[in-house]
Amino acid sequence: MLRQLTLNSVLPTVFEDDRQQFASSQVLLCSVAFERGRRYCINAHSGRGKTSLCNFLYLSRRDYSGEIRFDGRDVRNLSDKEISEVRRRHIAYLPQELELFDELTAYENVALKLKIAYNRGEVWPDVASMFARLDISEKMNTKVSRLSVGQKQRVALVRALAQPFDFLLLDEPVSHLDAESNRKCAELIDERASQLGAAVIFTSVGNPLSLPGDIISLSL
Amino acid sequence: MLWKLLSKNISGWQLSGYALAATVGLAILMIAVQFYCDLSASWSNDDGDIELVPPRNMVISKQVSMMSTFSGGAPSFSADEIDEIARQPWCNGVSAFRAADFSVWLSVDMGGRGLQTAMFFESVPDSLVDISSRLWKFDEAHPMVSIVLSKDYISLYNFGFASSGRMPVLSENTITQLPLQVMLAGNGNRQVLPARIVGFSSWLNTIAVPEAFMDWAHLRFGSGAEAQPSRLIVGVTDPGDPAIDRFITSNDYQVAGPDDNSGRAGFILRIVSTVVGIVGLLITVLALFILVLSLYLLVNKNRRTIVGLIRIGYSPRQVARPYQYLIVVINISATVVAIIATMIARCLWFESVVSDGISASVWPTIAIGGGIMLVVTIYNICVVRGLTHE
Repeated sequence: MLRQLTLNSVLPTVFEDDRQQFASSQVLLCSVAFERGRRYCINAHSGRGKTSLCNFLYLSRRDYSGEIRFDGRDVRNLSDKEISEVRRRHIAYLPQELELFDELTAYENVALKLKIAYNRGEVWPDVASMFARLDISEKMNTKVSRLSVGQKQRVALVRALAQPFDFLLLDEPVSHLDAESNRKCAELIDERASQLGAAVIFTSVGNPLSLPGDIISLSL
Repeated sequence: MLWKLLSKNISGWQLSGYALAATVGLAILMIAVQFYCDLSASWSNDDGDIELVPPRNMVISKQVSMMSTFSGGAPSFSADEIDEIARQPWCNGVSAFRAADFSVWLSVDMGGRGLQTAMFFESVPDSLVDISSRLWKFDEAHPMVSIVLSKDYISLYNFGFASSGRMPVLSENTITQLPLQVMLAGNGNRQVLPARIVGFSSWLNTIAVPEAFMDWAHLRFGSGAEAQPSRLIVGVTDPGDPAIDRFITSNDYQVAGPDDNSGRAGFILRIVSTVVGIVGLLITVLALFILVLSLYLLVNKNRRTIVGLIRIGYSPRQVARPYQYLIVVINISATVVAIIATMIARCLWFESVVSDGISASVWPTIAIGGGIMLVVTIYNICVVRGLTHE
């Protein structure tokens, strides 16, 4: 189980020459810890490094200064196998680009993830009901290439929620959704995160996820 | 699902081209190796009797000239000449035929019809006669003369003497069962001893007896004169070496025995087999390049998918596995087809080359083909792993 993600003076390399602009940031160039079980919203304008930060935490990029620690361990020292393990069991990620496979159906995209996320004998969550709660149950067997952006966003969300996780990382999760869909997504996210005792970290540029409960808001 | 994603952009033509080229290359290589092994085995065992021809030996003698006829003795080799032969770089040892210095008569009872003939004995080093030491020995206490007979003599008897003289034709097996007696005389002594033919030779063109018997008989019946050898057995490192031919010709020697021509043919055969084998290996290596290029192309075309899979938690090893399975299946298929092709091709030459039922095992050839494909497969697997890790 992953309990804490810690950032110490982290700054994307691309901003190395312009450190001044992050003087007031509550995340970059300072120490911040994300705890399991809590809710965090990271607010920023476009181009401030939200997606970069998500990718740093999801271990898919290393172009930053400072250090990121998972339960005290510097993530730069993790092996390929450990990185895969983090992505399969500890951190679920909804990227802004969604990163679905167009040639597979909506359900196949989710199943592709769950096949490696769960060990043999472990029971998968009820994926069909998640699709239903996000109003895309009739799209389960439709190829992703034939879905709208909003539908794709919800499929990607189901994929993230269906896997086991300690931290749920959502990069602008409702950017393509209306208020009603936003509410339904937020309910499902809250329910699933609470069920797993996981933390939720989401970014926003003005259309925040309507997550209930206490949310720690951090500006980037 | 994983295969559905990763099989995207696989070029059937490229993989078929690789499989075909690898199969053809490997089959050519294996056929060349197997052909060479079968022929070598057949030649080195063309005697087929209990005595097997020691490989790479030739019998050399001097030409018989008119002078020799008048002088009354066979032209012999002097010690200097023997030394010169022994010094040749292709020479692997020289042994001499040792002629009996006493008179020999052989008698045999063939179904009531007795046959007696004057004859001769020669001995060669026992190491050159591949016969069980149980048979190829001489015991003074229980004297019995073991004899190895030239096959040519049997042929002369069966197809010449027997057929014209209404004598029974004898098989090799019958001859070994014949009760023989030899009478030795010389130096004022005379003795009759039982004898038995224990083997036949196509390369020893003589009537050979064990060295121990020859030593014993010389002491009792010999004149004591030191005779110079008229025929030499020369071991050669490579019967196909052209230098041997040049030396023999320049010294006006003559070569007897089966190795004089087979050596040269073996040399040509080895060259041809090696060239064909190299061509096969070259095709296999070129096929390998086709596959590696195909893999580079495939991984580059599927890079987005591979990166996507790794980002949702698949390890590079898991992503590489389907491609590795594909390579293993193709390479195993290519190896199996190449082995089948080799076996089919072998049927074409088996009857004509492997006439005595003595052939080389196919396992070394299969091991060579399998070994090459194993190395190729391991290399391919490493290439795929490297590509997916990038």
